[in-house]
Amino acid sequence: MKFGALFICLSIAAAQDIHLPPGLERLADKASEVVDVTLDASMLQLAVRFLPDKDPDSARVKRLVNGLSGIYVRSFEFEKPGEYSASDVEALRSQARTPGWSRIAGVRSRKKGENAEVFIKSEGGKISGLMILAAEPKQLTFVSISGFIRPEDLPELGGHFGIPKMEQDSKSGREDN
Amino acid sequence: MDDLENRLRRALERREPPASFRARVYSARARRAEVPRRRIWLGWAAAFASLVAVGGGVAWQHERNIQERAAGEVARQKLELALKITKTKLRDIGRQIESVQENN
Repeated sequence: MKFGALFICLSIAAAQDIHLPPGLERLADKASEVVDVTLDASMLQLAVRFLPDKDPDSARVKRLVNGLSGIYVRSFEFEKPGEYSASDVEALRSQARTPGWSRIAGVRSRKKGENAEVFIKSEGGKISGLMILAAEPKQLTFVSISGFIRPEDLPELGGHFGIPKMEQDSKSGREDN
Repeated sequence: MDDLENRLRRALERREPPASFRARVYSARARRAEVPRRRIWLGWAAAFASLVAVGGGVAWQHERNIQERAAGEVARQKLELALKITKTKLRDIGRQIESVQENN
């Protein structure tokens, strides 16, 4: 019983790790395409059970997901630029202003009006969270992965110690959720 | 001796049963016949109830499996989408970093 209560408390704590700004959902009304993925620990475990058994990619994904407590993705695609404000981006960036988070990569292009940042959270020398914030004129994407990520599993996410991995991904098209 | 004979004769002589005897016998026989019929009926009812319970359990489990599979498929698709977006974004950022480094 005590373990059950402890597990529930830990799950709630993990779920509360990410506080999406309330204004973010407002952007969905303006967006032409919205991707909204929320996978808590139980959903991740359920998803893993339905990955193909014999696929080597699945084995890597299973290993990666094993230490995670949540994946949250919000991506908004707009018909025209200027549909989201700097304060919307700042509200998302503020998620990484809590203790333990550090910015490991950032790219800004004034010419293209793009700004992308990668943050990681570390606890006791381990990576315990990853956050990506990509703002383009007609697209705003926020990815937050909470839970322990082993450095050797970073390539599975497309990066390595803050230096994103260079790879060709033929299936890079967007999908609506 | 005569006295003994007389007593024995009286004791063994044929006597008609009371008028209610026949009714009591028929009633007892009917009651005895009723018990097995009730037992058979109860047996069938129990078997039917067991069948319904087992069938219901199997149907419930089957429905639960279908729902769980559907939820699992949705979760798997969401996971793949989330990882694909993450990969794509990290790859784009990597390319931009590479591009900046090349220009410098």
